[in-house]
Order: sequence, then structure tokens, then C-alpha cells
Amino acid sequence: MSIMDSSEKKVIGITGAVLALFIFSILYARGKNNELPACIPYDKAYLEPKVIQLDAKTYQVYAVAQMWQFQPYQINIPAGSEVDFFVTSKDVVHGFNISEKNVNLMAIYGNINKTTVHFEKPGIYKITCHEYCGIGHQAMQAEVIVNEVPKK
Amino acid sequence: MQISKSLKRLIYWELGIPLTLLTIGIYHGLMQTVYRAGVIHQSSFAHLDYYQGLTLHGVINAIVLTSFFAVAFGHATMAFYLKKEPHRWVAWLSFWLMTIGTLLAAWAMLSGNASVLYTFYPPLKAHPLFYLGAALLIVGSWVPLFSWANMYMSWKKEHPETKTPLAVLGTLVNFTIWFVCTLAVAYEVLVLLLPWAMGWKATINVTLARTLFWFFGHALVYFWLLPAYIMYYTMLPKLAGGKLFSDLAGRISLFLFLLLSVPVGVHHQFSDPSISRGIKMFQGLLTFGVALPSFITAFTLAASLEYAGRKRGSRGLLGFFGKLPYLDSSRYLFAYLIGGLFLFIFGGLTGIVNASGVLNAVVHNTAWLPGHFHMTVAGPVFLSIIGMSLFLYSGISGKPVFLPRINVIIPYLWVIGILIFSTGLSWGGLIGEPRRTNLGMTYLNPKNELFTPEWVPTTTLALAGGIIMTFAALLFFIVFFGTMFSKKTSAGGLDLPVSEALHDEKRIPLFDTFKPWLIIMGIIILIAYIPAFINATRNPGPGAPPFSPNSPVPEQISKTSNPYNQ
Amino acid sequence: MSQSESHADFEKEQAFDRDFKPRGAIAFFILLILLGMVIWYGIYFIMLGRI
Repeated sequence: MSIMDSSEKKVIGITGAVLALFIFSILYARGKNNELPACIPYDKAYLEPKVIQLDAKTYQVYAVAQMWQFQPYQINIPAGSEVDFFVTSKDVVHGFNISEKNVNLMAIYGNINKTTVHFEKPGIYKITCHEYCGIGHQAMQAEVIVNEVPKK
Repeated sequence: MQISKSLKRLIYWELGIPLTLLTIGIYHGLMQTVYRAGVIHQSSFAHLDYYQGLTLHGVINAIVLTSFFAVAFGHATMAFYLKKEPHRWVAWLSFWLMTIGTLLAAWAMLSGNASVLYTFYPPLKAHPLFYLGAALLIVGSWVPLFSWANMYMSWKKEHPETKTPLAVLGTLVNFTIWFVCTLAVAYEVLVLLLPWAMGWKATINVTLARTLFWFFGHALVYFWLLPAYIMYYTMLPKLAGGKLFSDLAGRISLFLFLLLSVPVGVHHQFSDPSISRGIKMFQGLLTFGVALPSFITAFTLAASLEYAGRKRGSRGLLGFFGKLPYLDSSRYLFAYLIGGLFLFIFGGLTGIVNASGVLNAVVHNTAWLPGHFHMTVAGPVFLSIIGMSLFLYSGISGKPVFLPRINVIIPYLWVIGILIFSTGLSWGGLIGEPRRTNLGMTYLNPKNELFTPEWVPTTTLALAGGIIMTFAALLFFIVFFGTMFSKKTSAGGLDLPVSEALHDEKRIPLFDTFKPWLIIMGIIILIAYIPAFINATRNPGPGAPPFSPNSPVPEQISKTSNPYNQ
Repeated sequence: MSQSESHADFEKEQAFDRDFKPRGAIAFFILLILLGMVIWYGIYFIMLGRI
């Protein structure tokens, strides 16, 4: 094999090795419980916005996106909670993005999207719509308010 | 090469129409940076509203310009290398379908009836003529492939032992990818969207529509890129004063693109519901695979440039970068190509981030995305399109380039603009700034309760970059239209730079034949996409009625589609 | 140019082509990969920090 093939081969080898490294890193992150959104079978129950408390630190939020607001608009959660968000849309495609928390979902009519988040630090976390959804798109933002748990 | 008057006129029109429309596209690019930086706090300006302008920007710059150019450049490369011309009526049929389609879509967008963006996701609904226009544009761009395939097969009969010229291989691979991927979007538009937009069907499966769109949408970016790759492999080394390090590397890359351009579309749907994690990860893996030919190309081109630089006496390991004809106005095409390559470093690397499953949550639909794709489609693709359009026009018409010394700096000005622009967008994206949003109305309006001061510096950077880019584009329009109105100084003809290969490589039949690669391409697409389409048809619940961007009330309320009636 | 001069140039070019090894391109490529890793791991650690 001429030299041209050998240096090209090296290039392919280096590239493959780096991509493999990335793949292992991704799998590690998945192991730390940061998964892609889960597939949930459709159920019209998810169209009713609500916050359900399962126990002291576990919550479920049925988040409904519509033109041009999220419901519930303000979600109060104690710090240290784990929250499952079930997200859908009553109309066009909306985005559902909590940028400080790796929550990045599409809200789609007839589909239920789900992700799980752990809110450790108190603060106000904005939920922003980042998919064009009509003339009111730029005003579509909601809040998750994570409240400090009073020390006993 | 002398070409017929018919082919000349065809190429002039196919270059001229999109470049003229590009003025609107560039104007709306600038306007978006103005709205987003909060310079103005309104929903529209000069009778065009933000989202209407965004639609025009995406459709003109990313669909019309790129498709017309790919066809015109395809005609030019096929004719130049095979020394035959495409069938006259086929070529003109393609032109008229594309032009009529573009006019229909343009009417729909300019009249405010299609503010749905270039992805046109349902349940947002556009005027039926928008969908029809898009379908015509796409079908029109298929048509030349059949003539070219014919030309190629008769050339092969005449030259059974000659290697297919790399540019010919590239054009045929590119349009094969295009034909396959556009079948999905043609189905989406003609079978799902058009009847629904006309009111003949009450609901649409949104996930299915999106999955069909992205079957098309990722391969689309390779349709944009491959003409530039053809220029990089077959012209750049010659323009640099050197030779192509490996012709075989080019062929391998092209066939890898043929295999892997299509079965990766789901990586645009990582955040979607109803598509299984397994398929998302699998197509993410394939996306890593399609990065490979770009890395091979990066190395091969660097080696070719190194050859050219060292021939001119460069010293040291990387000294060759200093000995290239960056500002030689008689070879301005080098400047356009190298500018694009430089941007592609960042565009390609950020693309790998986007393809990496769990990293998607950090960047999806934030400003990071347009930051990324302005370093790809508005980088190598855009610069190669405008540079080659000028080159083809000037060469064929025999008219000298107008203001050649300004012409050669345009690419560098554009590069500086994009770097500043994309830095602003990428940074903004990492701190939550959304894309596709008229920020000036709320998030960048100090008087509004949603005002987000963190996004002020990021959007200001994007504005500064946008202004520089617009200035570069303006100079280009002056150069191009100035050339058009200049007087002929020579007979003119079709002439392309042709790079010599460094090592005289024998013809390897495996890399000079389509059949085995097409079969593997088909198999991979089936494995990657059958599960995705099963997910998209079986998992979702009810379909959606149409919505205008202007109202939350669906356009047709029927018992079957209203969720409150279930 | 005399016959022997042009022949010598041709020999020189042949030698240049034969001896050409793309060391600079390999260096560039390694830098490209390193930049890619910096960008990728940058986003990766941002992501880990947001879990």
C-alpha cells in the first residue's frame, strides 16, 4: 500500500477512536440518569394541566402547551424534589425548555413526552417555548419555583 | 468548452433567479438580527412581519438558492467532463417546474399566507399553493438526474476502462441522495399536507409528518454540501497551485455520503415524543459515521494544500498555510473556497455536538443551532455557491469580473461576519436564548416583564456579525450584477479548473460503480427508518386539525379532532 | 529551455512528488481533533452540571 493510503488510514483510525470516546462518554452520562425523553402512550388525561405530589420529594407535572402559554404557569416545588414532566400540546408544536436543567422537549398534539428532573437548588427556573408556534410565540414562558425547604 | 446557446441561457437563468431572490433573503437575515437584538420592539417592519421574513429567509437561502445552484452546477460539471450536453427539453422542463414552484411559494410567503418557516411543521398550516410550489420546486430539481444518468451511461459505453471523473461521480451521488430523500418530503407534502390544507382531510399525524420531513431534512444538508465538496476535491488543489493528494479518498467519501446521508434524520427529533430511544441512539451512531467522510476530506484537502504550499517553498510543519494565494484576484475562487473551509471547521465540529444524543438537551432549538448552521450552510455552502455562480457566469459569458480586487476580499469579510455572528448565537444558546423567536418584542425589551438582560451581549454580537455579513453580501451583489452589465471581452465558454492527482491511481472498479453502494444504501435506510416510521404511525394518539399562526382556534373544528369532545 | 534543463525540472518534480509526506496535514488534523474534543467536552460538562 502506498503512503497515501497509510496516512489516510491513520486519519480514519484517529477519527474512529475519538468518536468511540464520545460514545462511551454519552453512555456514562446515560448511566448518571440523563436520558433522552421517554415514549409515553397517548392518554387524554395528560391534557388536564396539574401538579401531583406523590410524596415529600416526588412530583408529577402534567404540562400542557398551547398558543401561547404553558399551563400550569407557575409550579411550586420544594428543593431536593424529583419531578416527572409529562408534556403535550393542545394545538401546534411547542418547545419546552428549562435551560438550566437539561429539560428540552417538543410538545406535540396527540403525543405525550416525558422527562425526569432533580431540582436541588432553590430558585426560579424558566420554561421557555423555543419552537415557532405563531404570533404569540415570543411571550410564551412559564416558571418552576423551587422553594427552599425550611430547616427544622 | 463551447456550449450551445440554450445551455448558456439555461445556466444564466438558473444562477440569476436565485441570486436576485437572495437580496430578499439577505435583507431578512439582517432584519432578524435587528429584531432579536431589541433594536426595534415590533412584530413587523416595512410591511413584512418577523416570522414571515424568517420564512422567506429560510426558503430562499436554504431551499431555492441551493437547489437552483445544484442543478445549474450539475449541468455544468456533467457537460464539461462528459463533453455532452443534457437533453434540451429535459433541462428546460426542470427549469420551468422549479421556477413556477418558486413563484407560487414566493407569492404565498409574500402575501402573508405561509408564515410557517422552511420546516413547515404541521399543525401550523400554510396556503395550499405554498405546499404545491414547494413540491414543484423539488420535483423540478429531480428531472435533470435522469438526463445526466443517461449521459453517463452512454459515456461509460464509450469509455469502459476510464475512471469516472470525480466531479461526475459527485454530481450523480448528490442527486441520487436528493432523489431518495425528497421522496419522503414529497409524500409528506402531497399526501399528508396538501389534502389537509385544502380541507379534504380533517386531521394530520404530526409525528409522522415530522419524521418524513427529517428523512429529507438531514440529507438536504448533504445536497447543499456535496457541490462544495466537488469543488474542494477537483478544483481547490489546482487553484492553490498544487495537486489533489488522493483522488481515491474523494471517491470513498462520496460513497460514504451515499450510504449515510439519509438514515440519520431522526437526530433532528431527539426531543420528540413517540420515537423510541433505541432508534434515536442508533441513528445518532450512524450520524457519527457520516462525520467520517468529512474528516477524510479535511485531511486530504490539508495534504493537498500542504503540497501546494511546500512547492512554493514553505517551511516548517504548518508553514504551508502561509504560502497560499488568498488574495490573488485572478483566482478569486480560491478565496471563496478556503473561506468556506475555514468556517466548516467550526460548523462541522459543532455538528458533532448536536448529533450526540444526550448533549442535545443543552442545545436543541436554542440559538446554538443557527450558530452552528451558519457555519455550514452559510459557510462553505453559501460561499461556494456565490463564488462559483460568479465564476460560471463570467466564464461562460466572456465578461470580466467587475471590481476584481473587491471581489477577492468578499469571502474574508463574510468569514469575519459569520464568526462574530455565530459566537453571539452559540453563546446565547448555551444560556437559554431560543431560536425562531422575535426577541425584541419581549425578551430583549427592557420594558417587558420577560426581559432577559443576559441575552443583550449575545444578540448584540449577532447584530454586529449580521451587519458585516450584509455588507459583504452587498459587495457581492455589486460585483455579480456589475459583471452581468459589463461588456464581453472574450468569446466565453464553459471552463472549470481541473486538479491533477498526486499519485496516478488506477481505476478501482468497486469505487467506480454504483450498484453495490445503492443496495447497501437501501438496506441501511430500511433498517434505520422502518422502526422509526412504525413508531411514528403506531405510537401517537389523535391527529391534529389545522391552525393558522394567528389564532389558537383551529381552522376547522370537527367532532373527531376536538380533544374536548373525546 | 533546453532539453536537458526541462528534463531536470521534470526529475525534480517527480522527486518532490515521490518524497512528499503530508506531515503538516497530520499535524493540522491532530489540532482539528483536539479542537473538536475541547468543544465537545465543553458542552458535555455543561450538560453534566445541569443534571
